[in-house]
Amino acid sequence: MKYMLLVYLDEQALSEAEREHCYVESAQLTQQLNSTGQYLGASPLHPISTATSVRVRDGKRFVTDGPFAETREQLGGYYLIDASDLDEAIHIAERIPPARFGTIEIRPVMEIEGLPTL
Amino acid sequence: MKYILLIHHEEAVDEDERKPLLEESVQLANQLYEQGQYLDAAPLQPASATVSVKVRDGKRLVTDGPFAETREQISGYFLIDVGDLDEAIDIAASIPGARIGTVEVGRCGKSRACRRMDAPNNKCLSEPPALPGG
Repeated sequence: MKYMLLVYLDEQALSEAEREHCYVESAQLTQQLNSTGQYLGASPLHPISTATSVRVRDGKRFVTDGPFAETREQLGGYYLIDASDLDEAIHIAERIPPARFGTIEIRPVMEIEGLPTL
Repeated sequence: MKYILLIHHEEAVDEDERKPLLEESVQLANQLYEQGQYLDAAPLQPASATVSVKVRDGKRLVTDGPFAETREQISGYFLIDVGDLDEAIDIAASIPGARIGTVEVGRCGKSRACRRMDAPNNKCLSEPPALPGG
């Protein structure tokens, strides 16, 4: 069975040094999971100041800065993509069917060292 | 650059509506795959199948349902393959972020639109799209 584990944090909760330590510890965990065949992928995300939200209503695209923040709606799925820039990511986001009745949150994925390569 | 696209919507989408949307998503995933832009995608099981895990003072707190505190934001993710929810919760509790934030454990739907993009042959394009529950 596959599970997606979403890590929620208050961005102000950690100092820069604590954050770095957290990445190292997380990378160690991914190596352990990889050695037991349980690892599929993991990454920290860039801060929410880099987040973009996309929705499509009546064929029109609405793009807003910042993360999605409507608690009435829930996370229904995800796409992990490789795009050359945010514009390309937005173009892909607006093609996702639930963009027409929900919202797609776009978050740049942070590249860190020490993660298993599959 | 890698981006994660997180899909938020109300769950009140009925089964008849859901099926064509999933088929369309599978098509989109395959198009992205052809263009080398696809890394992974999955629908998630409903929020009722979701639990949230946090660790405070070494103690694990598990609650049913998705995480719903707007002050905290998604700061990262793990995608794992385990035997059952208990195992997923064990791993969730060992993530450093569980000690300062909360880890939401969502079960992925069965439809993987494509296998991993580093699969040696791109066979998924010639196969009928897989749907959740199928």
